[in-house]
Amino acid sequence: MEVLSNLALGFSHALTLSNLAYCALGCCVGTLIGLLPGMGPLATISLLLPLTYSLPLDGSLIMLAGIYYGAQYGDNVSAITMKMPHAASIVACIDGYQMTLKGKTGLALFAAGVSSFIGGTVAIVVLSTLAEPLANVALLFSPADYCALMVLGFCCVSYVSTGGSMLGGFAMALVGVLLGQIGTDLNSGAERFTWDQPFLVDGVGLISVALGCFGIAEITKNLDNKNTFTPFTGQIKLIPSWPEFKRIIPSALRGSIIGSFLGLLPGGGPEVKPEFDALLLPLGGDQLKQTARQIKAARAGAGAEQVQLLGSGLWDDTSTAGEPALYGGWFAASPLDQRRAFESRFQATYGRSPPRLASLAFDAAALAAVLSKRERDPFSREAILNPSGFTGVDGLFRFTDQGLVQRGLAVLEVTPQGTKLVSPAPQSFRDLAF
Amino acid sequence: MGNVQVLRSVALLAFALLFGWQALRLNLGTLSNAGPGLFPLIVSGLLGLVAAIMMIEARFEQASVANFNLRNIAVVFAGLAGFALIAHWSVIPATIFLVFVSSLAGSDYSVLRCAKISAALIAIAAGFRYGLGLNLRLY
Repeated sequence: MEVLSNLALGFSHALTLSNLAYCALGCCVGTLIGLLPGMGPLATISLLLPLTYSLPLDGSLIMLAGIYYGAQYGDNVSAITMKMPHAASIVACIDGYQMTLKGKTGLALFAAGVSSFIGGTVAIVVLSTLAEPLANVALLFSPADYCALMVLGFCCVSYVSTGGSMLGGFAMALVGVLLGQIGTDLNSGAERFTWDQPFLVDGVGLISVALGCFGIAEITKNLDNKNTFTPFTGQIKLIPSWPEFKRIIPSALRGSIIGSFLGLLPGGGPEVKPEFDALLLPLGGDQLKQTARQIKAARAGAGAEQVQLLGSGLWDDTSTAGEPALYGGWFAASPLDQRRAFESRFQATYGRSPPRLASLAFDAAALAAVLSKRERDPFSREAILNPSGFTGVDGLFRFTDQGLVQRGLAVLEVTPQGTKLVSPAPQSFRDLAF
Repeated sequence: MGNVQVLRSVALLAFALLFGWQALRLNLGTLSNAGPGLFPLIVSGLLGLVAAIMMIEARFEQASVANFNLRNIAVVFAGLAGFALIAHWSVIPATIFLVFVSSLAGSDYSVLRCAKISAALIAIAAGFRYGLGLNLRLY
């Protein structure tokens, strides 16, 4: 019953007169801005954020929630009356616009609002009571299951979205998938179908596709048919009759239960992108493996698979090289060929593979040997701090006068087939800037 | 004008060929280690197949004649493209251009009505610019 007492605490803060007023105000403003075609909840929140600067903390959070909810409803309005959807209102656009054509705009608006309220309430109850066991179910979803779920989605879209021909719906689903391919490939980083245009690197936004496919197409189609139809003629009767109302409730409940479960799956809901592009993990061994696995799960949950993992030389270790959670991660390490040559020589001489630190000792001894061959003053400060550095089996290195060592390392990528070279080690310090 | 079913399948086929051709220029990889081009190639192949089936179907179906009003579509698109171009520089002239050009597609043309619509849209844009601090270049 901890849930109930926590909820009671939340309500005791939320249900003050001023906070409810902030909520109502946020809903109104959010609906007004969200009415504009193409303005989704996120865009509306970022526009209206300054409104909440001067409010107390509780009030500003409550008002932002109101704005979010209002903007979502506003989206439905433009989808239902003008067939101009945003991400979440595409279904409202398909079915709701049909109701508008039949003169039932008011009923569609009412159904959208009521269903959204019922769905939100059910989802909150599910989330606050069942979040933990359901999260475990969501984590069981593997890539194969996602693929199956998406195929199911495409089949449903092909069936629902077209009047007659399943084939036509399927073709349009495929066109949508292809449009979604435009931009940077999440797995390889390659730019696909961008035709060297920088604005296509981030992909084609859902809003542009939706406005083009639904809004603009509807306008030109109406012009073609010489329709005098405009969405704002006639009366809008917002309150439905009792039989109509009775039909809304069961389908709203059904939809909200399905939605609560599908919304659990990472990547299915609204995306929250992290504000960084790369994450450095200067760890090694088991600690690295554990951390990388946790981060992989978190990345999948946040839709942040494109965050680049970076590592230090500690990743250059056979025990972590096969770790799937590190696939795609980059780390700095000694140039591969020199090191492999050293390892095979060590193996030939001693009959076992060298420990990781052996090459450092080898380089230190080789440095001493090289310096001792100088004719004058072999171990002077200038000789050791030689700015062009020295080459050893671990690659290029030099010493700075602050007592640090600078090294010329290669950048390697962890792949299922072992490590792969991303960028070779520099040949000299001359072309490097520090 | 031509048969709608045939036109539709030709358009889909062209789309599939365009994306398939571009996908072939990317690294395909293998099935177990897919490159960036593999998935788009499979999808455009499927789309090409669907388009071919639709083309065969069209042979056996009652042809419905396409009735596009190309002039109106061109006018609406010219309005949009002009808006996108001019809005780079400034929003108010772009809005006026959009309203006056796309109204040409309608059957009746009223300068007064266009002026009213433009004024309302500009007022909304100004509300965003000054009320909400959006970075719009109005003039």
